[in-house]
Amino acid sequence: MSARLTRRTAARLLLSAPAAFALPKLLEGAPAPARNPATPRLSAAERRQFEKSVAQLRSTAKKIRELAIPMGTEPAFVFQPLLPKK
Amino acid sequence: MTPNEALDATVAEVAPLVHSRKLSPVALAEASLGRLSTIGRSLNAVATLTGERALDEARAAEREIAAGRYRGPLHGIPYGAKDLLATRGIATGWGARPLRDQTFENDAVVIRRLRDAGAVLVAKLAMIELAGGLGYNTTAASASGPTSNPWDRSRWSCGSSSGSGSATAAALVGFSIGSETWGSILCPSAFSGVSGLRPSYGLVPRTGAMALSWTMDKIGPMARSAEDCRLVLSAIAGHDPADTSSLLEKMEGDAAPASARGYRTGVVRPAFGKIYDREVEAAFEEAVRTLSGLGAQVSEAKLPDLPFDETAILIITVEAAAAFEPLITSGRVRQLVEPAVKWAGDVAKTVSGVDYVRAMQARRMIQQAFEGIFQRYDLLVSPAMPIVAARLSDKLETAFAYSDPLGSGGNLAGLPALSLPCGFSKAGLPVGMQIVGAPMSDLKVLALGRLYQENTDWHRRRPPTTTTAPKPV
Repeated sequence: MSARLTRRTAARLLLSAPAAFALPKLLEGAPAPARNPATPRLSAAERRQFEKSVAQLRSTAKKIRELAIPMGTEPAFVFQPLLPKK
Repeated sequence: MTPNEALDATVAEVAPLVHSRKLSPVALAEASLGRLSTIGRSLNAVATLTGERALDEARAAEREIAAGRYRGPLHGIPYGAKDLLATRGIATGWGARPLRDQTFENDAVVIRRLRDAGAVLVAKLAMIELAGGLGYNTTAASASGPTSNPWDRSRWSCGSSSGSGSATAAALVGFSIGSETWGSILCPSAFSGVSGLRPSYGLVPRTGAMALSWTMDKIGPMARSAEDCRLVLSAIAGHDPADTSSLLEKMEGDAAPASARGYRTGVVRPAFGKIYDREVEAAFEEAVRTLSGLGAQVSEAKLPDLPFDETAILIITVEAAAAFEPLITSGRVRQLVEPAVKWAGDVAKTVSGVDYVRAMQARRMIQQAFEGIFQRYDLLVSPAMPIVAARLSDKLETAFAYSDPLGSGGNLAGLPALSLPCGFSKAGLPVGMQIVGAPMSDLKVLALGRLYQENTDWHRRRPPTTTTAPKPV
């Protein structure tokens, strides 16, 4: 495997939401995400952790954006219309 | 065989004794409940004991068997279910403190099918809160606290099916049910030294199970042999119209081939780097030699260079944030143990819709890549985990600092995978090997596992179980 992300992602294994814990630099110029009103005010340390998490997820998305996906590749969703019940 | 000895045996060994009435389902249930309430509690493996229901089901099993109405190999066998499967009238807390008293009106389909097979539900088993859906970084991220590993109580049984791994390894139940989105059956199976199957996506219905990631969640058996996994899978697999992802297709393959001859087996050796435990590597390589000795055509298999981990991370993060939106917006998410979940919803919302769809396109490419791989190989094998059980005190972001392309890719592509014990470290901790197959080749995966276990005895080893409390860590 080549250029795989090497950040530490405990979570990403089992863990399903790894993005919450990771660590690359915040992308420059990236706008801060809107705060959920239900989210409490964060301490400075928590804020740093939050920003790292956002940066991690953006870095993850960037990696996928860099993938050469052939046009017309159907996303792995399937929608099945519900047929009328008989 | 006494009921306690029976709990140490496999379902396949115990079932004939139950059928012939040499073992009483009631005595088995009582023995299981006794062990769960002592050893299980001390391991933090139990969310809720279901004693009343268990004894009702066990008495019913005993009556039916006495009347000649034997339902099959699970009849009268005590089992535990991960606490994200709905059970009528019994709390189903999803491992989360704010949901501790949550109840449902109906059993999950898997629970119903096991009841129909005559199995006896003795406990809801501990799990990581929300199956780790909003992330976690400590082993304590559960309403039940950190679940200890029966092989060494200062170690973790892994997550998110923590109680299922620990309780099955400690022989507190005959088998258990876990679930996996990414790693949550394979890791606890590997760390705890049990045999656990992540079934093909869509094979086992999820109706009545907590949703974390609709496109990736799977439910599967954790047991003490591959053959036991097959027995449980046979009871829980099959189409359910209420689960729109449930497949109509049936599993293919021979459940009990005489040899592995002709199995084209690809060995995947991911670049785990420095974290790869040399004892795990040695045990895995010995297992590969054993497979080769059984006639499998073994050769090196390479995965293509695709963003496996990144695609899984992005999809799961977004789907989990949507799944748990009510908990997030109500602020109840703040009652969870893991501090970082407070902002997990906000983090997920930074992903654009376009990025999510792109991830699903990448997923299609990953799916197609595996399709090509399975034209060259019947099965893949790899270490289930590159490390032995982490310490309860470990920060998970450090302990699990490696990429996991077969785990993420296998889950993205909906591939079945079996983790089974293939050795032990010098400190006595289990090592797991995974066998991975094409979608719906679950029986073939299990067949190779069964052949391996017929020629090795790693799965027969049992941890030292005592009723003493875990050591402080």
